[in-house]
Amino acid sequence: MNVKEIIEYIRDTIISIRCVIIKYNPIRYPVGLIECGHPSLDSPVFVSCNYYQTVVRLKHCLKNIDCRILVVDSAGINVWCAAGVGDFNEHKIADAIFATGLFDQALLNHKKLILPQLSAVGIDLKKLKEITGFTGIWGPADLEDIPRFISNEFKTDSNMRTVRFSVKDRFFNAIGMFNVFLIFPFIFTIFKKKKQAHHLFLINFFNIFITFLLYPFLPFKYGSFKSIFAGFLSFLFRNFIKSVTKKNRNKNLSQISEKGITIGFDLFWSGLITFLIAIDMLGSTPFFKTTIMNWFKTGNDESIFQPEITSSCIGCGRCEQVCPKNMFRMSKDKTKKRVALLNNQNSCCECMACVKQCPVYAIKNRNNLVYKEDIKSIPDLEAILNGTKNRLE
Amino acid sequence: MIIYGLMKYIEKIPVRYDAIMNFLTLGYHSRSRKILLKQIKPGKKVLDIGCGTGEFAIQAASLGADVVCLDTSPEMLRVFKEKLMDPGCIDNEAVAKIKIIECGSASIDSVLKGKTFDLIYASLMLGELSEIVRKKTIQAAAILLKDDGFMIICDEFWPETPLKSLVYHFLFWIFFIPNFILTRTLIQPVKNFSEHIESANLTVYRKIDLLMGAMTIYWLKRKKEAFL
Repeated sequence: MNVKEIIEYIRDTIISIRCVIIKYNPIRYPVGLIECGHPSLDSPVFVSCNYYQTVVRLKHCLKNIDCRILVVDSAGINVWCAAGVGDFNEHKIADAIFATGLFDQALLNHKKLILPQLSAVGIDLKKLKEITGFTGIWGPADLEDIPRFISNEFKTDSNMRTVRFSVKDRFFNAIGMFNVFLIFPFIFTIFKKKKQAHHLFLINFFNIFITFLLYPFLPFKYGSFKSIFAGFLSFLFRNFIKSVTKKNRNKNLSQISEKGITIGFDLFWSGLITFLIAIDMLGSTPFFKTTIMNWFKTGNDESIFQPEITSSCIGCGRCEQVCPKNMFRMSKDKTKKRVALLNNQNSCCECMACVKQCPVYAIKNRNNLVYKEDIKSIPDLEAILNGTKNRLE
Repeated sequence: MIIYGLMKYIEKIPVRYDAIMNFLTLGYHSRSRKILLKQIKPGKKVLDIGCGTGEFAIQAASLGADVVCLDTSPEMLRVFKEKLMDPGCIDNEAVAKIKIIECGSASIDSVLKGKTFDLIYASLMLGELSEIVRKKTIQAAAILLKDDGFMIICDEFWPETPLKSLVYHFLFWIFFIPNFILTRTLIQPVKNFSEHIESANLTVYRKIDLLMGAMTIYWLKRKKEAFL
């Protein structure tokens, strides 16, 4: 390790920590080509968004592999969100290819890019090929699976394609969210209400960390109810700690209210923060994605959009390749035409990657034209879903 | 919830984009546009890089220019196309003069290969690009420029003198929070601009500062080839 590498390592670490702490203010990694190991003319090229922490994690993951990383401008946003809103699309990749000289220089023997699977909702591979001549293949959903992906001869299996939302990711998410919710104690601090601020700080801390860290162990199927349960747990837990740490232990739960913190105040803020977290869980793509109204009406978090495969399916298998919830499988019956079949019912998270990638627009919504409508990267989404737009390859 | 609310707001932004930009720049957005529009003459071939919702392109086409518009954001272009459908916004003659291409700014020389333009506009888009993409964009645009054509760039530039730079740093961090809240992205002023135009073989023909240098309009021209 030379001095330059050490400086780079320290800078990357500091900025990564900053990215975790203030999650919603993205830092951009400069667009360009990063060389890992000693890449040759045949080495693979991995495409990444330019959210700083993603690039740092990718570099760390690929440090023992001879390859190149093409950092593409995604406005500093993570791959999945950026692809969904159209910030990470084929034009941005083309721009990065032209700007880095990957296109004209004799850097590569092949014209193949390995794209993050979660960007499938935003990238039109056909257009990318038209503009740059590069073909794209989908990598794994989680960048930590990349070494396994390489040893599997650049093919993904259903395990690699599934979004897992591991403890590490949940922990980072909890820190980011906790810092956003610090706004409440901060406001109380400004108005010199120290005790209330301290109290709210604890409410935030328990609610958010219980919800995210204990996510798989909490009862209820849906995230929103899990967070409400976590809110209830943290309410009891906090009051228990308070009654233990109090000098006068004779006081029971209803008497512990101190000056300024009445039971009403406590209930209101616990309820509000729990409710806000529950609402946030409704939009969390790793699980489900639904609207607040739908949650109130039906009481479940299941996405309103659920894929349905129509008879125009040609069995190309692209939906299977890009689905992060492992919803699709291909029929194995050799006597019939190969088509896509649905694996799991109702586990869709409305990422719309299948709709974007299907070459014949065979995927429709089981719930007709109702869905959350937060995916912006498919220009004719409505026409595709109501069947007025058909395309043949 | 805070983020949720912001996201909801920004989702509707393409429609209000011009209004917000005008507000953020204290009305200088439209004033700079007026200066730019003075250059348009009927029959001129104009390339609008980063056309957004096409406000400028529509005005230029109404003045009789042939406009090619580029943008990467399908959402912005959707609003633009809706405007073209609306007869209250633009007349049919002008609609025929507008051509919309969805493409990135650094790939223009390969997408528009062989075409040349009298005027190339890049208004408030260079700051959103990463440094090497910006450099490539200026170089690619220079290739598409006619020998007597102008490239007009209207953007926020990082001041080069130390005192101005210091004041600018100060203002930049004050406005950082409202700017971030309104736009959710960080628009960086353009740095190392003179270096980039040098590499693209262009030279500054004219320069206008607006709002005490917070916004600048550059007229760039191709450098005369040295006599051999």
